[in-house]
Amino acid sequence: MRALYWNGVNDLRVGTVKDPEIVNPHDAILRVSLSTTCGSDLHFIDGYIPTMQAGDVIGHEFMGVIEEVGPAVKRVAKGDRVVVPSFIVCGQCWYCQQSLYSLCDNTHPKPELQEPMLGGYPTAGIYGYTHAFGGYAGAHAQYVRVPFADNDCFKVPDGVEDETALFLSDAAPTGYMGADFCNIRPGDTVAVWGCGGVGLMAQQSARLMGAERVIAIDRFPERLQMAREHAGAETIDYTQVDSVLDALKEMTGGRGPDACIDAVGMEAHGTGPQYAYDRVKQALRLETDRGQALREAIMACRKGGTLSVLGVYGLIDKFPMGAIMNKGMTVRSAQQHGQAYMDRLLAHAQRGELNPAYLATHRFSLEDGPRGYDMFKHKKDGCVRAVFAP
Amino acid sequence: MAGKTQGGFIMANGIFDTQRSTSSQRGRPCGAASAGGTGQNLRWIPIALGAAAIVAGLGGRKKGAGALMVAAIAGAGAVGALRVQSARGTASGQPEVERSITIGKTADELRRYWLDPGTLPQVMAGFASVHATDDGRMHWKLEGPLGRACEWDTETVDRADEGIGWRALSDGAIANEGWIRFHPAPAGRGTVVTLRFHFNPTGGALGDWILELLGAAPLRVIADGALRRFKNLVETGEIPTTVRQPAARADTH
Repeated sequence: MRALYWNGVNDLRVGTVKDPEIVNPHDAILRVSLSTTCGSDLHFIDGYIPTMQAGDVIGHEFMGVIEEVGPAVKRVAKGDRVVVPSFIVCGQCWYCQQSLYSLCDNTHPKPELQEPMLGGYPTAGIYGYTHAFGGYAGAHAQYVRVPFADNDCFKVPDGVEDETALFLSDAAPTGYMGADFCNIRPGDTVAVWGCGGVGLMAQQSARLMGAERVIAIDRFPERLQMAREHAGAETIDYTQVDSVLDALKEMTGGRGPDACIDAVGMEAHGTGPQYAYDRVKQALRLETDRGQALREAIMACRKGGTLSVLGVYGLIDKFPMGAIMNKGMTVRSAQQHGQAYMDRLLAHAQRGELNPAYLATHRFSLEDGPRGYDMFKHKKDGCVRAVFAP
Repeated sequence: MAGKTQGGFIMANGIFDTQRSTSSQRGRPCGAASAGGTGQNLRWIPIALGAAAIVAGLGGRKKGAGALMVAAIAGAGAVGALRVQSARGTASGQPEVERSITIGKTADELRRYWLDPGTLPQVMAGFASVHATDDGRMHWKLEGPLGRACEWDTETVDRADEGIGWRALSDGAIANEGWIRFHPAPAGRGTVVTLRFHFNPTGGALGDWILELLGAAPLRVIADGALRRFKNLVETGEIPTTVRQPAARADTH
């Protein structure tokens, strides 16, 4: 089959690889209909994140049609059109039973690569990412193997288009979870740093959950326009104000936002022992504005408010713990527990309340994958997400 | 851990604290007995291997000071682990390890799974190839570098209230034994499963060699891996893997 793979730093290629096969009894093979780029991919592409191997097939946000199932698969079958959350979960372990799906105990084949960074407690595995996150083959390909298909494949109802379902794989459940963390009550104002796919989904989700106001913070005019148009958000272009903190305080009558969502991150995926302190310092110097977003969210939040962190981090220094403590804040964070939200998200999509298809600003054939990533990375032509069709 | 090896293998603490002690080399020698050299400071093995693993993990890119520092930290951690093992060992300082995991099944269920002859081969797959023999024993084969291999047989000892143990038969070249025990975890969290491994290479060229084999995967890693695979298997019916998956690499075609 054809697949997009990582060949080295800033070197993506499309090539012919062997087809995936059923390996374990709960596996399915999916014929990929659509897959899309994610900001978290950029950091292994740029070479900031080790434990990639030349030849790894990448991509973790996708949907498609089931082609084949293993002998233990019961709930889905060949021909089902499904969306698959990015994290692979077993559905059986204690974490899955608590709906903390991305913390699943049973889907990481190489946890020894990740444990040192996480104190000895690995996460679930993910498709098409680093080997510290499991090293599973990714979905920018004609076919992908989906372990635990009964738990991880969600049938897409008629009337929900492929391009809508695609983003229910990662951007939508991540944003939805981030809003869910905020325990939104009537009258609440939610501020969201970042207007990429996840940030926009968090903004829309906050509205769906009853937020009175959503304030979106970014610097790209086309993304701020999307926030206004699709999430009904008020916006702050942080390059145009002296102080985001002052702007937020003034916009909220001096109270501050009730909840602050970080959908930016340092993108320093905390995987493996490679994140020596000096490398993180290096990353911080390169991406100061990203560390800035988290600190700003902490400082901007009202007393007793909630900080919801969706951005991915490795190590961070100069973290204003005193503000969190003295303001009595609640901090919530996770990689996406997509399986916990999928039924609700599909229902929202079916009713037209949440249609993330507008994120698909640019479409490519899989063969043009490297060009798609280049446009996405450099946000050329207002690219929010590049979508690939094999 | 004395840091040096000398002499042959001995079988020290028996399962369930049965004291047995001989000091002579047992059974048939394994592989190239001359490999390894004498007087090697074993504390450097995990450091070197940890560094190698981490550098390898970096994919050959940007092996900077950071990687070396992390490697050093990992190595220091491994040394710490060995020191802990040493402190818990007997006077002669045998490498041993005890690790626990919590599994969402009852002790009875876990006991049945563990005694199933099909389980151990899957659980130990990351360490040694194991298969049940006709006489109810388990045959172990540890593949070493340069095609060298070590083989031995173990018998299983099931003591209902104390857990399940195994020990190498006296004609084996590797003094290896262990046990697994099951205790209820609080509030419906399943069962705490504790695995103990005990290898007893006391040195000399042969001792160096087996430690070289084991050093590539320190006992703690072996025990953690075995427990994790056991949990994966009994909770889900399978062990997660990326074998035979597509990649644009020669070794996958």
